[in-house]
Amino acid sequence: MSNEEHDLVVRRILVALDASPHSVAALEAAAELAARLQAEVLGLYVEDVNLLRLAELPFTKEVCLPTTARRQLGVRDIERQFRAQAARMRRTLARHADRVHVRWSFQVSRGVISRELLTAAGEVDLISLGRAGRSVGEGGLGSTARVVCAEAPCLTLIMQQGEHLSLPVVVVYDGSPLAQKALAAATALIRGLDSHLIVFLLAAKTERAEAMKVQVSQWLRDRELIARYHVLAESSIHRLARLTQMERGGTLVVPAESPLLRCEALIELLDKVQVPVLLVR
Amino acid sequence: MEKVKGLDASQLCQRTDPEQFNFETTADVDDLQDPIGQPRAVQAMQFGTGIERKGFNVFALGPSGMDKRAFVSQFFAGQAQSEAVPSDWCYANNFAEPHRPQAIGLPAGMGVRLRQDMEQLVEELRTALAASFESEEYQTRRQVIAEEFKERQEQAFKGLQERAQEGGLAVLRTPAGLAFAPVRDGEVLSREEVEKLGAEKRQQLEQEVETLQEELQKILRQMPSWQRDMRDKMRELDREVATLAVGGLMDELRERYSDYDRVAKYLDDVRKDVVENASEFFPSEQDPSTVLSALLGGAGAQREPGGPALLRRYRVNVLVDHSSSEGAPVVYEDNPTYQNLIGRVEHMAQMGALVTDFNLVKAGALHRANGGYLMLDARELLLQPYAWDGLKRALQSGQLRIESLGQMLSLVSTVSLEPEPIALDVKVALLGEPMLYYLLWQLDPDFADLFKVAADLEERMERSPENQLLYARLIATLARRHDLRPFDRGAVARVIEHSARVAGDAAKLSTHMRSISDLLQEADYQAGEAGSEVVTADAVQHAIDAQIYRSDRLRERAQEAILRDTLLIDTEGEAIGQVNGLSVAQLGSFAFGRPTRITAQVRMGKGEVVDIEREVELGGPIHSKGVLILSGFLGGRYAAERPLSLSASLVFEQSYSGVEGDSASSAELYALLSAIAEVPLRQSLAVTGSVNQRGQVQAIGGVNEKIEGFFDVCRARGLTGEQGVLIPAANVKHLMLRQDVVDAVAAGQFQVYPVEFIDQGIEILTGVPAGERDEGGHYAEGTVNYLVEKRLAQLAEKRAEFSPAAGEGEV
Repeated sequence: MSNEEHDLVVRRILVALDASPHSVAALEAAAELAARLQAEVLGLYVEDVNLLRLAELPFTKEVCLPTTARRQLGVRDIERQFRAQAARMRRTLARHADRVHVRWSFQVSRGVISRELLTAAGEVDLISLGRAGRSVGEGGLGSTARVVCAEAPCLTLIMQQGEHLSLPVVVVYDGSPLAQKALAAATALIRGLDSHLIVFLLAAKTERAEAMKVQVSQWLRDRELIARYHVLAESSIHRLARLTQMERGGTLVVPAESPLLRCEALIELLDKVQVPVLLVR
Repeated sequence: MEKVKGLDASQLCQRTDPEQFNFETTADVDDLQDPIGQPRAVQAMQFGTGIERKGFNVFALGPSGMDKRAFVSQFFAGQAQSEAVPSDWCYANNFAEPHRPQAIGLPAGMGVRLRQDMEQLVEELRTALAASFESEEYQTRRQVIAEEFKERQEQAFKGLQERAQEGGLAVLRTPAGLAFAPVRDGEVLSREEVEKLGAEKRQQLEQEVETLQEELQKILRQMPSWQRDMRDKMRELDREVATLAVGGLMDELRERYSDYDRVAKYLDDVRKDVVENASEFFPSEQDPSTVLSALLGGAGAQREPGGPALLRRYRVNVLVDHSSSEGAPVVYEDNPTYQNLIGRVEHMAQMGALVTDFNLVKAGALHRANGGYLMLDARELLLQPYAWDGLKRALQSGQLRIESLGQMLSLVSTVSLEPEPIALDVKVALLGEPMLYYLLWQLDPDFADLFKVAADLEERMERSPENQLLYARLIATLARRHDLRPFDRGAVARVIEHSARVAGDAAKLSTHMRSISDLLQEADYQAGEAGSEVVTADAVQHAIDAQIYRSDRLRERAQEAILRDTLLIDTEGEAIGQVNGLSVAQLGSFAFGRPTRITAQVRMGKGEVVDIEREVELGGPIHSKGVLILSGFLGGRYAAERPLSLSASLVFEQSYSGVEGDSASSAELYALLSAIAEVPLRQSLAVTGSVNQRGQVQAIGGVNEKIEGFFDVCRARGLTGEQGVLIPAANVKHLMLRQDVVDAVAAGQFQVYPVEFIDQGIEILTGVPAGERDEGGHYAEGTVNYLVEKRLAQLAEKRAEFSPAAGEGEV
């Protein structure tokens, strides 16, 4: 259990930049993480193909914000807007990355946003994105984030406007290999910082929980870390969210494939908690 | 006319007999409580301190060195003791108009209490507010409000979205706004696909988009008002929570000060302000100024929430604290600048700018003396720019209004304050020289309104036996005050004698405190040098001699010049038209007399006496007047009925500086008479005294110094017994001569002649009778007057011969 291969290795971090406030939070977190893990940041701006199509329609008009004025929208307009936004995001990325002395690169691609992100995610170790894009929605998890959360092949960090990767780090542990990876990721997050972990043990039975606690504490001891433990016997998303809030958790690390946190449940969790969430795959 | 005899030695100096004192040394004598020799000033001070009317402020006038401050403060302190301690004064924030701090008056000692209470309140408020605002309940309620807004917004969009979906449309976010697009399976239909839909369908679609866009615009336009609603609700919530948290603490404090309306009102304002600004008690993450100030450090830290800036806002600036005062205050401001008098508003640098608030209002002397007494040196006050104007304005208006000079003169344009004026009730005493008093009286029309009481200090007092006893007590008091050895009665007597000499009058004593206390301290030093336990008459004499020696370098030079015949002064023999006059030189506190040769030349002329001093503008107007009187005398007495046909010139020989005063006019007349009559004058005598047109000799000043000045020259050359000085008889009462002069007169080696009329003087000087007119109006042959008249008659006749035609010439 204490083999080194379980330690987390993150070399490339992809950050989805769509000019929303959430995506700026995602950028900040990515830069901070990259600095801590000595990784590089890859910024990706996707020109939404849907918008291009929209612009091609003859009757398309745009309601401008915040003036609410209406105006005709053509393909050239939208392309110009894309270029302007991309340039702005590039500058933002440069500013944040340079501040923490992190290597960075920036790409622009065109297509369906989630698909483009997932393609790019295949090349990196971690993808950081905002919990919602700029689309008009209900305030919960955005459509793109939903797709990425469900399908991303790598670690996925979901950020929200105004949040930072703060302490303490809460990790959900169910004994699975993925949970072990989540533990490693959580450890990586607090590496070099004077902090402890909070471990939620997902176990229906007390003996199982005890056994898991022994495993985790052994693993942590080797890394000279300590943790506080909570047992989540009745495994519900609701309780997990409550407990995270009660413990004033700063960042939540969860294994994505946990029985408790399968797809829809995971999305529900992300909707509920107001902290950064790192999904581990 | 009676022949004048030299004065008796006893008349030359009025001694004080030590035996009249019934003490051995001043250690046995009680302190003097009241000022001596100042009945007028004392009454003025009693009146000035007693009367409680506007404008009855005091001006204590007297020459420098009269110790006016001690004199005035004695009365003020006495009166202040029995008076109530005045109010404390504080400046507190005026929440409605921060640039006009409010003045709060409180009974003595309460000012500091209010300040402490407010400091404590802020501490407690911080805790109480923090507890309320960090509570779960508050946070929840706040979130509920935020959620409500969010929900409202979401619902509006959701409705829109649903309607859009029904028509197969979706809302898309473009980089610059929002747009509606037909979608299928989450993807926007392409142009071709739309075209395939057919014209009717397409039109319907367009119509739908149009409607939705209008709807969207409507929603978006409502958004700001919703946001405003949310903010209002949040503020209302904050207010509610803060009111509750603040309530208990404020009620308690308000109860404590319920008797004081101003404080109660102030506390109400504080309550309102705290409720309004409760959020300032906590750090707010979004506050960019905190980041900026953190970067800048130092000065910027003022803006830290709950930090010094907040503390300053609710502080109380106690300007005047009387918590440890007893009675009314008596203040002496030794540097009466405008700001030190009226108070000032200071500034501090904050991020490169000068800022201020009510905490930086500083009290002036008038604040400290309010309700009591203030003493100021008039000269110092007038030397300070605008200080006099400031004082007058405050006294006239009865209000203390702090205005910065820079502001008043528009010299600076920093932010400043207009503190609320404070009611002023103060008795002011200005201490100054008489000249200042009279100048102010004459030149400043407000002066008479504001300083109605003049305490005019007398420089001299009567030398009665009772006063000499009081003087002894004064010496005792001063000796103890300056921590000196006791003075024995001989020393006391000597000091009193010297005091009469300083006063320049045998029947007076000087009340010039500085000269007295200087002499006492110097005598004490001399006694110390001599190893004596008490100060004796010898020590006093030593001190006087040393004082003189220290300052008589120029006198010595002058005397040396005479003795070496550089300055020509004869002290024996006789000469026509030449007499020894006497003048006094004043150098600082030291005055000395010295003889001057005065000569007269006569010739035929048109009746004028030429004053050479005046011709060359070395003579002052009084001196010229004296000389002109001589022509009057000559004409009146000797040439009443024929033209005065003489031209005479008078000169102070070897005088190289200005001459002023008429004390030499009798000497000039003697010289003139001698020159006209061609009768020689005794050079062993010197003369002082002025003369009028009737030939009466009148009193002059500095008689002691003049006699001693001539005596010193004679003694140095050897006293012959012939030598002496002619003084006006009216000056005899002023004689306080040095002991060696008195001794010489007693031994018959020197004479002092009191002269009343010119005729008496001329007899002494010439040894020839002056002569009086007989029944026929003629002088007896051989007398001086006869010779003068005869010569003048001769000159008149001769002059008539020169005239072009007798009776037609000029007169």
